[in-house]
Amino acid sequence: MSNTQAPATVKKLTLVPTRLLTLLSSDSIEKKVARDVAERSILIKNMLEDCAEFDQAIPIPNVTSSVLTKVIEWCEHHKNDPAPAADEKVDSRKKSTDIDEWDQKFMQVDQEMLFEIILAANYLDIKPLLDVGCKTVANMIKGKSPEEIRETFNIQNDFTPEEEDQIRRENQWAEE
Amino acid sequence: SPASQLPVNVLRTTFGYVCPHSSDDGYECSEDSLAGNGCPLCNTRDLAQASQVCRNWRTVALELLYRNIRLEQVHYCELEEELWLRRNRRSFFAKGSTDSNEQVKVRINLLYRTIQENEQIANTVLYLKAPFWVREGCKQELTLLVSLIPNVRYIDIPQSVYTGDNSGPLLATMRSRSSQLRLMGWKAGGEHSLLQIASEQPWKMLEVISLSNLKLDDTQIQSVLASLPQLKSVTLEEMAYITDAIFDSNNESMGFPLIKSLVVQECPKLTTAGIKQYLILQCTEPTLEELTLTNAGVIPDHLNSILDIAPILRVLSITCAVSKPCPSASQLRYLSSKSLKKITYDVTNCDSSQGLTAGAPSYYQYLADSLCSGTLPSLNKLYVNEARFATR
Repeated sequence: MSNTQAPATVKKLTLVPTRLLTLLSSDSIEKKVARDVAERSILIKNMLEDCAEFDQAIPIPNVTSSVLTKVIEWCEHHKNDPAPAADEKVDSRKKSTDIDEWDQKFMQVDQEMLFEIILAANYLDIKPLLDVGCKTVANMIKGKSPEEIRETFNIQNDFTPEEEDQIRRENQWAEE
Repeated sequence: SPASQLPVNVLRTTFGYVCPHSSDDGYECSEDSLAGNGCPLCNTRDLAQASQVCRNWRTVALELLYRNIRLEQVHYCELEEELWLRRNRRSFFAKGSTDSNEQVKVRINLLYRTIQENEQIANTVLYLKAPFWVREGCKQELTLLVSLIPNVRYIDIPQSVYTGDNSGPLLATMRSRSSQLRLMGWKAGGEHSLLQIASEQPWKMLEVISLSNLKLDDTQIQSVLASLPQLKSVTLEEMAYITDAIFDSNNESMGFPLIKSLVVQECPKLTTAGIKQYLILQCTEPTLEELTLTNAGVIPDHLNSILDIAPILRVLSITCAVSKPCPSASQLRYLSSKSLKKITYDVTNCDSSQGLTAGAPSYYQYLADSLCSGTLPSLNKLYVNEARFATR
């Protein structure tokens, strides 16, 4: 792309800030969504940057309409969140599992939906939503024994009894 | 179950929240890297439990569980009291130790067993952190651990290692086994041990080095630093023999390495002239981003001439004592830098200067005037040691 084209693109964007996009879920339901809301998804943002025309519905093949609705709801609420500072080193000390109140309520869904939201956030590249999802799962893991975790998430124990003994021995240092 | 089938990156992020210190990067000691991480022992236990759930989880959890090992002595939560009571009750019947130092030794020995039996786990360990009482009280145990973890980048080590106690097995083990070490320090007594690394090069990957109170001269220090190709950060503290000549470069020596961060503390013979010489050396390819001058031979009058030739300096910290007031605005240009983001400024009066000759306030005025003149456009953090600075 030549330099002379760049300002034209910028102008176009500032002229239509709240233009509606159409997203097409995996079960072929169309969802109208404001561009700035949809752009919380880095996948969609990059897609839009690459093509000037976006009159057609954007297919989101991995996400069903019910999940897409939830994800859009989250993006609506968080559309004005400040972007994370790019040049400041990410402070790992802020990695607490605290979740803000609205997000906590938002995540009060059944487990199937919880994991669908996480997978959708991962696919659509919405890092803050993925983080909220992972924190929610982390809080469900904490303080539980392996058996309790399996029960919570309905996970099959695929270790042989010998392997289990071995792992228990290996982990002994981390008990207590 | 969808939980067992989560993509690896999602599982990794989740487990990172279960045990926050596991994904910490940075060569900070145990005490400095504790904040905000909750109770490390509880978090480690939780992650260990998660690693026993299923094969998929195990693969991801193991990487994190052994990446950054924290050998804490006690729980930083209510659990510690409960465990203590339980141990006491137990020891009432059976003879066992309730001492938390003994407990941590037991834990380290169990960890040693695990690492010894599983090479993959041994190769995963990058950071080994231990609070003061553990690193000083469990040297033997630490030495054994270090002998098994070839990829370790950071180890919390006891004081005796810094002073180069060559008879100590831990230092010897680190020299022969820890080729990936990124941070190391030497203190008074460690002269011989430091000079050895220039010839033997046990730690070619060192990025951060701190030298304190060593009776070594400029050429000796220079030859050591020049032997470390990955060096990024150097601290020189109370190095009485060091002068500006440490920055000399000629055909015989490779000169002072081009680093990102330089800390000079209590080295009165290192002056502005030396710092400037160093910056001129890197004029075509500037590297210095952080400069700390604490009671070095540099006063605020000189900062301008340093900033002029430090085009990518982001962080500047100066602590010094002045004996006379700051020169007037006509004699001294305002501080000026396009790149500088953070300044720490601590100017006090010399003991000998009192009353009218006390100059510190005028130096704060100089800083305030510089701020107002708009010559520090990128600055967003400022720390000053003057209560009334905000009113200036």
